[in-house]
Amino acid sequence: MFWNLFKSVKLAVFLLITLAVVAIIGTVIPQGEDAIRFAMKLDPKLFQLFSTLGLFDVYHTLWFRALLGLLCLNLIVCSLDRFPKTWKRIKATPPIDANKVFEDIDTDQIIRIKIDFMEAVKRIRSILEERFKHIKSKFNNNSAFFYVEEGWYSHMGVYLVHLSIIIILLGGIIGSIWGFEGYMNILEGEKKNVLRLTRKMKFIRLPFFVKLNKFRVEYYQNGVPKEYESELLFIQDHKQVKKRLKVNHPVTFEGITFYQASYGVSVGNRVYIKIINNALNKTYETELFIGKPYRIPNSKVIITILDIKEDFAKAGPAVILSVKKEDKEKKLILFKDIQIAKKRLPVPMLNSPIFNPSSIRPYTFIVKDIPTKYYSGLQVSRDPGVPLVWIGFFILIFGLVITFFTSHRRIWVRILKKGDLLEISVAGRSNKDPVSLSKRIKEIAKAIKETSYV
Amino acid sequence: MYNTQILSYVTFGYFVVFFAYLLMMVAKKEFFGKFASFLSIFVFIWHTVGIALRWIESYKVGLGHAPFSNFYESLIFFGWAIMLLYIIMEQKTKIKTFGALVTPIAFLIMAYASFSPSVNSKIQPLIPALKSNWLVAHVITCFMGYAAFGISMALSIIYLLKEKSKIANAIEELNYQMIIIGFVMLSLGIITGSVWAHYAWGSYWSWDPKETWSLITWLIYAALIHSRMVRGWRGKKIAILSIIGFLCVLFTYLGVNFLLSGLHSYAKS
Repeated sequence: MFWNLFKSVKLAVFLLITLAVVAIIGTVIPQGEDAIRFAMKLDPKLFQLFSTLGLFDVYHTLWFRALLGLLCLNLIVCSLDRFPKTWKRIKATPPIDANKVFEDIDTDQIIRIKIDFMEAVKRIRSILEERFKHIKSKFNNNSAFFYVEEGWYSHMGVYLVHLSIIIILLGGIIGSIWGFEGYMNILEGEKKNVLRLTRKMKFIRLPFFVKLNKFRVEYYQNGVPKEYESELLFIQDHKQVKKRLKVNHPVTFEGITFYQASYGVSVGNRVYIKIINNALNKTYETELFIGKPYRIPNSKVIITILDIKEDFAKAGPAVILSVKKEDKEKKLILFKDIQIAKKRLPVPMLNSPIFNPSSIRPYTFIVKDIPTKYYSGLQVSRDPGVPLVWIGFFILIFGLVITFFTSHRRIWVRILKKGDLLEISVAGRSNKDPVSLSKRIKEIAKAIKETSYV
Repeated sequence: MYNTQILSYVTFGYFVVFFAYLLMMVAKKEFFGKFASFLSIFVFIWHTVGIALRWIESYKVGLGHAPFSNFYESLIFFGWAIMLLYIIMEQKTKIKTFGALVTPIAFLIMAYASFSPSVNSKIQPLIPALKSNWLVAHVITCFMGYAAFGISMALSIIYLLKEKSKIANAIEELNYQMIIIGFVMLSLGIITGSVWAHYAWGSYWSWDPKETWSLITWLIYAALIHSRMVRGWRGKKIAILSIIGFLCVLFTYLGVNFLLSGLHSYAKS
């Protein structure tokens, strides 16, 4: 029952189509981190259903893996069921004096010549020996038969393809059990050993530190990045190794591979600010750090940077400043580039005092500079399944070529005595590709014809 | 740029070739068939020259990369691959009736590339992720596969129209040959893409929509091949499956670019 179900190609076709349909679902419903925005729009009941079925992460659900498992089982059972029969078919030698194969053959497969019988046998044998390893022959009173074959391995292609699929999936399983995949954003000058795992809210600690010594990016004239690279320093105990990481050229340290995935600009914890006291007509410039209060000279006003935003309300970098005057605290949001902010923010919002740098009299606050640093986005992974996947890929291609572009050909040559003439015919059978079989037969027939003139 | 100019002439060339094949079918004169075959090879040579020139010209503007990197270039190569396979098929089988169905496909693809305002024909700089030797292998194998599936779709349509005719069996056999070429090429395309993704993105498979859709396409054709090889399906069923398969190809190529987002998004421009 089990065997009969899993040896059926019907099931294989059904599973292939099912996998295709499920894969389509995964491209229609946003997956992983993209799913959050989509999920918020869903009806709560529908959301519950989707989430129970794992539709927000289809490719990693148990049932999707079970489908792949069923396909593997199907492949294995199918192959085991068919292999003995195939092997028998390869090993079986058909009758050498098979007259049947010579029925209904083309005229250019028949050669009639006047030549000594034994001479013809000798010449044909030598023609076949040039082309085939093993020649079987049989002699009767008035006739001689030769039998040769080639490309028996053509039957093996299918099994190789099936084997390769199993190897590739096995590589995938090994990778998902003993490997990991994560990423880290690392600031220039920063040292890190923690990375966040992809698709999981989980962090892991590497057995060594990574330091980003320097980050470089080069642009084309139109502003598109041309090349970017990180100068990394790996630090483990007393060992320090410098490596250069470029896109498309990963580096490996202690079996863990780093890929240059992205980059960005991050604000630090300091800003340069200009304070104008409009009453006294005096200007002060200073460097401020987050959370460190600063008293404006000749006053009792204390200002503190609460936060520095890389991009506030999509209007560029901004500083959130607290201004304390006689126990009254007011907040200001100061954009680094007020012109951009004026373009991007709605007028009523800009008119509110919180965005007005002169709203706390008699001062005007101006952000001179927000120093930024590059951060490098590194994809970090260890996948012990990769070599197996590569082997699988290789076998897959090899198997496909054997399956589709080779064929098992059996060819017979018959010499018949007809009066004082000899009738030599060439015929054959093939498991597929009749076109190339007939080409081969015609090529042999031609060779026989040519040698008989000598 | 001379290359875009040549390639737009090639577009018209394919229209003339299409017309010649139509004339051959209507007038039933061998002369037109010979003319059409000759012309198709002539235009194809210019198509090849156009692509080669684009490669050379990319070095002249200081960008220097193989012409397989944006949407325009992929369309041009898609058209080229279809014509290459068609010409080989015609030379081998000596059947010319398919010309009237295949050449307009090549013409439409080329026309879309050359004249659609949404397709940018400029030679663009390569983003760092595309700077890899795998790019050439990946694009060539994928588009050879797409082209073979495209021709198979055309053959399937002819089969469905001429199911009762004498050449139906020949069409069926040819259709299957094309599917096999497409399947091997698509497999190579997925594999080269996968190896490349391992180096560029750090994972050989990340269920990116384009990856997923190429796998869907692969699964559909795998089902088709099993149905034919083991279950003995022939003719109509195979023709219909092949048309469905090509719809998947189109979605993999175009639908994913325009409807879904993902790692392959640079193919949009």
